[in-house]
Amino acid sequence: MDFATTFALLKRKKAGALLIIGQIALSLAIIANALYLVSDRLSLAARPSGVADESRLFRITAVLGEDSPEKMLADKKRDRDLLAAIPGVESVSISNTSPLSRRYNNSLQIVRVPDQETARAEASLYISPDSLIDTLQLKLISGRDFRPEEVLESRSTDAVVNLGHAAIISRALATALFADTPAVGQQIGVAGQQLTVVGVVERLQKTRANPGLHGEYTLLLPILNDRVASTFVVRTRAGERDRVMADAEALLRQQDRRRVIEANVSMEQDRKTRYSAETSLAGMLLAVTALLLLVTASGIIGLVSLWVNQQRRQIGVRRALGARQRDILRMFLSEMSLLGLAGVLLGIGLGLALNELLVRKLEVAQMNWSYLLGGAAILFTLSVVAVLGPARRAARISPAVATRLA
Amino acid sequence: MTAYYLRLGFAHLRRHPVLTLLMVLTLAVGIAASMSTLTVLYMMSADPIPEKSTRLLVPNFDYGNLDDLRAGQPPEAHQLNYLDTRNLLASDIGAARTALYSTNLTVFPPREDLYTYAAQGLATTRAFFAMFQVPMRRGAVWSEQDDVTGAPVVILSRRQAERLYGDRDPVGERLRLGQNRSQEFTIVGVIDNWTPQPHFHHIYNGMGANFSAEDDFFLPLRTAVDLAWANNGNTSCWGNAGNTREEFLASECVWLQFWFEAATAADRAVIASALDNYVNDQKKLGRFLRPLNNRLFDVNEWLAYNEVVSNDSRLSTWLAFGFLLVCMVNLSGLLLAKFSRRAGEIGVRRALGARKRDIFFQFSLEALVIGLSGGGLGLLLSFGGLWLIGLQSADVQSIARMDLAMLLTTFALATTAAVLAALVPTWRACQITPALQLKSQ
Repeated sequence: MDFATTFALLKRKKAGALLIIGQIALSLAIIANALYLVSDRLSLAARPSGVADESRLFRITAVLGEDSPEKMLADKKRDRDLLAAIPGVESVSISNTSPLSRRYNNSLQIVRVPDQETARAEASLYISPDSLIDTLQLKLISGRDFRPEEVLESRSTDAVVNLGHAAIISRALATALFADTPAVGQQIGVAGQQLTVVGVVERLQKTRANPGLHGEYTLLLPILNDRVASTFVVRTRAGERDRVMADAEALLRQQDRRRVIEANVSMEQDRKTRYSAETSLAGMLLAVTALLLLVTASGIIGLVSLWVNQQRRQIGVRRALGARQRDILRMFLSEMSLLGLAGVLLGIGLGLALNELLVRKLEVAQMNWSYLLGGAAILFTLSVVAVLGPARRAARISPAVATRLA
Repeated sequence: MTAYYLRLGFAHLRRHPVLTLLMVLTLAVGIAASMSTLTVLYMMSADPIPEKSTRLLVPNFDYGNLDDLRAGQPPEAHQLNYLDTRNLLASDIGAARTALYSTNLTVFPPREDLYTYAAQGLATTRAFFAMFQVPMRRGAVWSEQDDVTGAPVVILSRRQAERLYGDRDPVGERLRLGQNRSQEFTIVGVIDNWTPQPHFHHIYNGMGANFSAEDDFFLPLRTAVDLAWANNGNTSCWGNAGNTREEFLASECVWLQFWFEAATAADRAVIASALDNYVNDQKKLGRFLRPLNNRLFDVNEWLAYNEVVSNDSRLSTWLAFGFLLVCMVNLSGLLLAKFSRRAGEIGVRRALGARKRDIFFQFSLEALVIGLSGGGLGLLLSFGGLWLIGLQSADVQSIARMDLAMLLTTFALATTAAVLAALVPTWRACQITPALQLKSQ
């Protein structure tokens, strides 16, 4: 079936042909953009936080009753030790916040000392007198963890806030401040004080897990403070997390009836909550893609069935004149190939235009060609497969139809 | 004739149930996707206080250092510091003014059966309640004197009052509330249900929720500051934050949200110039190193500036409408198939004297019927769609609901879509020449 004949055949069914081309084109434009967005959002949600084996971690925040700074500090240490004694607990750290929890974010400008003008970054702080590296199982790539003698106690009654002398930073922050120079041993300025970098961890996300590189600018400080809200980050043994969470809450309530358990959330749940918008959008887009493919396929089947019915006599005549079944099949397939090709080409144009619109109006990033080409392949295949059913029915039309009067 | 056409149309629809079902379903799915996303977008972008939204204004000043100044950029600070808050509260700029910040507090219930729990507090001035039209259920707002002295008085939300006191009138009771310092407060009032969506009055509320969060307790700003209750929102500092409480309050750390009320929309310019004068005066005292760069936002501008309506909602809506377009094209094809089968019938009618426009009317009516049934089914599916969208978070769930306007829009959209989709097939049906059809009979 050559191009000229196919085209001539299609010209007689212009309306239907244009509708099929339109459907394929619009579907491709939407599906390509949708799949690109799905991949973009899901890859955002899949980013590692730097914590190993998140399923074994949870955070529990208790609000202490008010008391003298000494009592608050002692209470926190006592609570941490009690939590550590619960069967199933591997490690506990007192902390201001936990990755992916989006709560209690403290951020400060960190500068490189000297050369402040050229190297500065805004980092989130993780403040813990215990080893967060141990509890979160962070990967230390150079330097060391804090030593017990570097841990400070900070009271709200202190005249001056002392940040100590040591800090551990994430690799992203190290690159931002020091580029290729090894960061361990360097000086950084934090809130007007000078600290030495003693270690660098591979990765630790900010508690809000912001997109982009600056979502990993984090700094650890070995400080115990007497803030009234106390978060404990707990690592449990595999499979025991839920039970330990219940035990931990009961234990902390027991200590003081006045105390409020503000939160008791697993890191798994925190991750789900943090990315609920992204996964929802991805889900919705996948649903729309599936429905679009269904709708387009049904539309093609419907119209081609109509054509088969309308052209019964012509097909019968062809068969009577010697066309084999596979010739009839080929006729329909070549028609659909032409329509599919036209639809896909138009669709690529529409897809690019739609992406351009989204980039300009909704701050979406630019889609790359693979989604358009992949989508084009899917839709082309879909349209050819969809036509097979009606085409086979057409091929079975007996030549005797040609000789009938009706 | 209309009734006859309708009967004829229904008869045809019944004769080809599969085709009819396919058409109605295609339309319904497209309508459901579009309307559920549109409803969420519409609810998110709704003006929360239409009577006054152009007269409630937020000021932004450009705190910040000179060395990281980038020309032409809006101020990085979205709130005010304590000094400017005090000065502006004491001024007579605007018809009314208030400032507020959110604080996380512990409630010590007077009942034995309740544990102490955490709640959301709003520290503000008495003007807040009139400015934002907060309805009072019991008691009254605290007095001017209470504002000035920082009295330990509190107003409860209806939900908190019922939780702690049931049906009793709690006005006059004493309740212990605290943070790192707690004390006994006297309850002076209870507000009625008040949930403006979005929570435009305190966008920086530390809960990360713009639609579902509720303020539980209201207390005078001075009281919270004197008790040193911390800000549960955003605190951004330029320069030194200071080491003591006094230094912090005197620093250039911003943590308070400020609102002016203008008597008329035209007074906005008057307030803007008064604020320019204020900043220039402060510059003479050595503050505000950056060049004058004040901003003033009304409610809707403030919501847009803070990107309260996420781009994701807009994205979903656009793509859903794109999907509807494909459904319409599909419907067009199905209608073409359906009308083409009736070429004989059309030929006979035309031969008997029907004009082209009669055929057009007849088939448009049939399309309308499909539109209405598609709209009805689409509406049902939309509720499902809204529920699915609401699964995302409690915040989205609180606004994923349909109101009358959206309900009517669903039917209007469905019928319009069906009639538009039917244009090409109906036009083709009209073009059928009677002679050809009669010959082949």
